[in-house]
Amino acid sequence: MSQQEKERNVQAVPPKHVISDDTIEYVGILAKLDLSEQEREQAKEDMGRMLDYIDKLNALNTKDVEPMTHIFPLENVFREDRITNGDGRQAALKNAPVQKNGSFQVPKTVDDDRAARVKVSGQ
Amino acid sequence: MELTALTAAALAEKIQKKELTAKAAVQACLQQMRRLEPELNSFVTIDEKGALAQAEEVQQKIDAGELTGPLAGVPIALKDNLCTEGLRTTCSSRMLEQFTPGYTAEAVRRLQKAGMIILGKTNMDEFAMGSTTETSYFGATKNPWNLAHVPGGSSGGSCAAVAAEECFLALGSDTGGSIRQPSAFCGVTGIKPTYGTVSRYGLIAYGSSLDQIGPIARDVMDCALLLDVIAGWDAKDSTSIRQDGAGGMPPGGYGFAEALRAEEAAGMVKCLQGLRIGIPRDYFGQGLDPEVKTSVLAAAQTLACLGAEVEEFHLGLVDYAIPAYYVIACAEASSNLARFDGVKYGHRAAAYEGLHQMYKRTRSEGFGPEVKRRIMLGAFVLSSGYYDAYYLKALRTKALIKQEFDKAFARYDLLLGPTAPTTAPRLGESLADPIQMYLGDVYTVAVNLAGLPSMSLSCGIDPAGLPIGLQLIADCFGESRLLRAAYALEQTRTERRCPLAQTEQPGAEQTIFAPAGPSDAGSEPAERSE
Repeated sequence: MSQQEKERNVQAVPPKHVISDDTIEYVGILAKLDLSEQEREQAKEDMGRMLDYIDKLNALNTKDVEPMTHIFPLENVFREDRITNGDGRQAALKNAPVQKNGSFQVPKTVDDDRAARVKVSGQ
Repeated sequence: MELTALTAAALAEKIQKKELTAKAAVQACLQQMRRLEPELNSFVTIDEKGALAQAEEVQQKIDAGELTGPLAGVPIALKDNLCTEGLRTTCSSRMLEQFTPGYTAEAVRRLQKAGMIILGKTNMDEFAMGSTTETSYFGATKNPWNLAHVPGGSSGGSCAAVAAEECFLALGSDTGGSIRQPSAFCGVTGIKPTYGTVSRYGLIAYGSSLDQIGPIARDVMDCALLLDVIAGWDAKDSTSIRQDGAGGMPPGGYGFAEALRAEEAAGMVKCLQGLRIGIPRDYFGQGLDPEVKTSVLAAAQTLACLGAEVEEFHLGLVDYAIPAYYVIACAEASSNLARFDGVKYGHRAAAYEGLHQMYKRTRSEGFGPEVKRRIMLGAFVLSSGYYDAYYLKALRTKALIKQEFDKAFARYDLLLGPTAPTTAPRLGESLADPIQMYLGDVYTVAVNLAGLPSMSLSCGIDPAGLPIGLQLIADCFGESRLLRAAYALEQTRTERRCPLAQTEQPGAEQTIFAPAGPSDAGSEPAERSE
């Protein structure tokens, strides 16, 4: 254990925000992350501490303040619907983790039964 | 003097005058890398063959009189989140360890057009998330001034490489201080331009509303020259700002460097006359290292001597910038990094059952702890039930912070403060306590929230031999003002090279600010200490 870790453990006061197992499970689904038991516990604590810190914002009165996403007014940028780039198929496929017949290959996303039903209803 | 110690401007001039070749410049950089990289680790990828080939090609164009720009033939390093066609771009992540982009970032394309030579890709915190360059999948970069310390981050590799003279210039990116803070820690000069000044096309996104690409150099003139090359409107970035006169932009380009040269020609006498500089008292409170404070205030004194009106004032909401920043940046990161799913590029887990497990395993293996931490926080603050309380609250806070800066810029042309509260921490000290690390960004993040231009400039050396940086902040589109003040300040400073960069015996060195001259053991001339 490093000096920092020791100090950290001594200082450790549990965060005020208690993140439940359900919440961290839900965040894992949203963020598409598979956490180990240890990572999960660490994440609960880290997120709790971060939210404690972020609660600082509650001291600020933001009633009637419009949320600001960008500093400058953003307008839609339009252009003619004309192709300007070439055929990037080979270049794009070069980085494919798995490819087949000139396409990105992914695990089966629709099971055989459903695929069969879709085919039938489509006829 | 060694070739690598030249400024980019001086090097390019020598190349134009046929006193040097682009190839010799590249070889000098490669030589320096061979000597220093085993320990320093500023680079993820060194493109030796590519750089020599570019040098050949650029030299021909220079000889033919086709390339006459002020940076033609100058070797440059790129932060590894800038896409380069055919050259691996990793974001210092396992996720992109094998990723070779099919296109080049607009900022990089502009460098190539200007005849600059790309040496390779520099190390960074994974996906630019961190303040130390220690979260890199490829190992930490060391601070060239003291190898036991971090170079800062997230553009730590770029700043270390410039300081160690492995390159003459570098590009970095700044979302919450990622150019300015490592510039301060490595004793170099870096600019975060006004949001929208440099196209983000081809910059692998972290927090899109905050990200800006910017120049890193050893002096202000080089920084200005590089900014001239990369700045400008680009149809491929919808947030890029048009230079058509609207929004205070001069038509036909910025001409930052040209303005400095004019200043220089005029003699720089009392050149800051009438410039109003505000010092936010709130940037000098608790947590600020006394050495840093002394050094930055000495620089303020120098600016006053040069004719600027310098005064203290109260800048509000300083304490709210970090929490607002982390909510916004993490929210945007969770959305931006959703694209790394193992389908089209990047890492894919070896074993999985079904699509969702493939996504989850791929991402869990591909991302490091800091990236996961931020993605999860971002997903949380954007989730239903918390969106208003956290995400919208942070955006409202951002609006108020912007108002505080508007008030300040009604009274002042520039703001001056430290870039970071301390000099570079030791390796391994920061990651154990993330919140403590985030607090180090206290002076830099507000600038990104408000979209302002800001630059970090070296202003001294602490007793441990580590550089101290000051930060100048201007109102939107105030880059020339920043550069003018920084340039004037720099003229009062005696150049100090990073000792590690020197292959020849170092000669006499002096304190970095001639007039202020606080006691500094390391500044004794070498002859006297013998």
